[in-house]
Amino acid sequence: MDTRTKKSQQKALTGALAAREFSRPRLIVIEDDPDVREALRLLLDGKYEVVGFPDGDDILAAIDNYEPGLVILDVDLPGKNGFELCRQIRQSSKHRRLPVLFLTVHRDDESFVRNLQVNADAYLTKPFEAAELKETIRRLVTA
Amino acid sequence: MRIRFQLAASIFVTGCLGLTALLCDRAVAVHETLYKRSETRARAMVESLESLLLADMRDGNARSMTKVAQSFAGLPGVAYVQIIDRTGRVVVMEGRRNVPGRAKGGYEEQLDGLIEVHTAVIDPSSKEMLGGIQLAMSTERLEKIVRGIALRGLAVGGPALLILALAAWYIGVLLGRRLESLSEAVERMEGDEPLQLEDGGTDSEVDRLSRRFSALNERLASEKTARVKLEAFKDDLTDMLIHDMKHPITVLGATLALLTDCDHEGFSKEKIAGLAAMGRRAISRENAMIEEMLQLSRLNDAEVPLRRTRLALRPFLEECAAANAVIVEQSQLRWRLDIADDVSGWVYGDSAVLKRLIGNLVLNAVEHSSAGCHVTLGARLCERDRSKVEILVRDEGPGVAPELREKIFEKHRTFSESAKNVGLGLAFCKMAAEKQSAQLKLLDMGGAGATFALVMPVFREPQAAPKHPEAGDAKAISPSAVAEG
Repeated sequence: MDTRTKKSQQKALTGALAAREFSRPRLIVIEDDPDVREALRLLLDGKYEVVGFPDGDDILAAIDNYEPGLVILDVDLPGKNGFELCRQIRQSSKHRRLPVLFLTVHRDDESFVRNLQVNADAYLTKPFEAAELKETIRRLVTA
Repeated sequence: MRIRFQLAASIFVTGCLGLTALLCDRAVAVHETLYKRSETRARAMVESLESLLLADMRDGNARSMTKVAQSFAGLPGVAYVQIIDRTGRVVVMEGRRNVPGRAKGGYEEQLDGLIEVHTAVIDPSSKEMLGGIQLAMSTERLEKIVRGIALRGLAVGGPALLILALAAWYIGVLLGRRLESLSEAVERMEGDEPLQLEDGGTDSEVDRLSRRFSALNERLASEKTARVKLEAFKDDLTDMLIHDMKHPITVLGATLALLTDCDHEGFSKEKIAGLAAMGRRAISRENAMIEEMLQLSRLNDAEVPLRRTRLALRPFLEECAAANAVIVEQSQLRWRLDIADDVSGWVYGDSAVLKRLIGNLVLNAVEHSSAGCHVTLGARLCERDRSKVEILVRDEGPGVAPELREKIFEKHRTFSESAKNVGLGLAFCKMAAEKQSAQLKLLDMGGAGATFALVMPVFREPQAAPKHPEAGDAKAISPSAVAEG
């Protein structure tokens, strides 16, 4: 797929969605698997407005537009991986306090250490319990 | 010290010791034989004296006894003859008896330089002891003979020893040099250096052995590299599988959680149906992954070799086309078989594995195509090498991004977000192709879509006398061979 086309579509979508009024807390989900993204949206749809992206190329712009209460990141992503995106958020003076939750399949120590190094707020491994996910998100959003 | 000198010296010393031991043994044997013979002769002479002197000793005829003793003492090798009367007094003493010290006891006494034999003379009628006779043989002559033999032995043995030494040195040097070259060859092989044989073009045993070692070494290194590569490949796949298998499970978990709470959430029937579809899709993905893992496992299993047979190309491709047509049609796509006119003959391969490989490529094309598009199975001869055929699977989907073209087989990833499998299919295809001495390539055909090419050697009967035409050749194929699906 043409990268420029994809980016322009994503920006257009971002702008359109940003114009909408959100009454519920907003979450940004960066997850490359469409089914997992959809499952997360359905799981959290009742209490949160979920906006999903397959990659994090324009993550700071998306955060600017949506002003989410939490960002959920996968680790293995096309382009920049989850750790790089988290580091990018933490280096941003405007969004460095934004809660970040990692959802990944990696359970090994290296991932865990890297997760701590990039100063994420929470870490859940797939497959996760729906209740645990909801509770973790609730805690991070209301903190 | 170098091996050749050590070996030569060892063989030389061993030879010298052996030869010396042999000479000594022969000398002792000759010495003993001569002494035994002298003893026997002396005993025979004493017995003769006894019978000759019996009457004279009974009568005390000293004159006659002296005559007899003189005649015996004059015989060659006899040192002296001595006759003693019944009182022990020496009656006759003929010959010389200037020998140092006499040994005590024994019927036969051997002194230095003398072999003495003595006997008591008894009157057979009266059983009365008449006296004794003693005869001594000089060993001087024997010693001379033995010395002569020893000198002759040395005269012969010296040059023999010299010849042996030279032969031993030559053998040692020869063997040692071969051992050294073998040892150096092994050392070079250990150090991964190229094998340089000393004798260049010769074909000695050592050279052949070195070459065998070298070939074996190269084969082992090659096998090791292949195994390391395979292990890395398997590790990569395992890592990827662990990663990707968790996604459908995550979806399934979320789906079940949502379905459990659907009353509470107030889901519509359509939403519940959507969730169920999502769950089924997740199960389908898991199943596909398990199937692909089984395929890979079969390919990796050295105990299950591929059953490569001769496959007539056209019938085989037509069979593949028929097998995959249903999948393509069910996906609302158009199926096309496009075999170039000049494609004929046969390929060698495992029919089942090749079918699966082509099936995976078709499935991959289906997954990346939109409704109404064409999926094509084709074949053509390679432009650069007409001895090879390209079996093509082409789709009209979004294609593969340039940055992913090189990585698509290495990373074993799908190249589209919409893919239903996890990329193991292409990993299987690549491995299956390599196992059959074929290549799997992603061609740059320009325009939209992706084209995968399986490149294999193709074999044909000589055109002059095609005695056994292939089934595929006999079958009429239209010039374009287009079959719309």
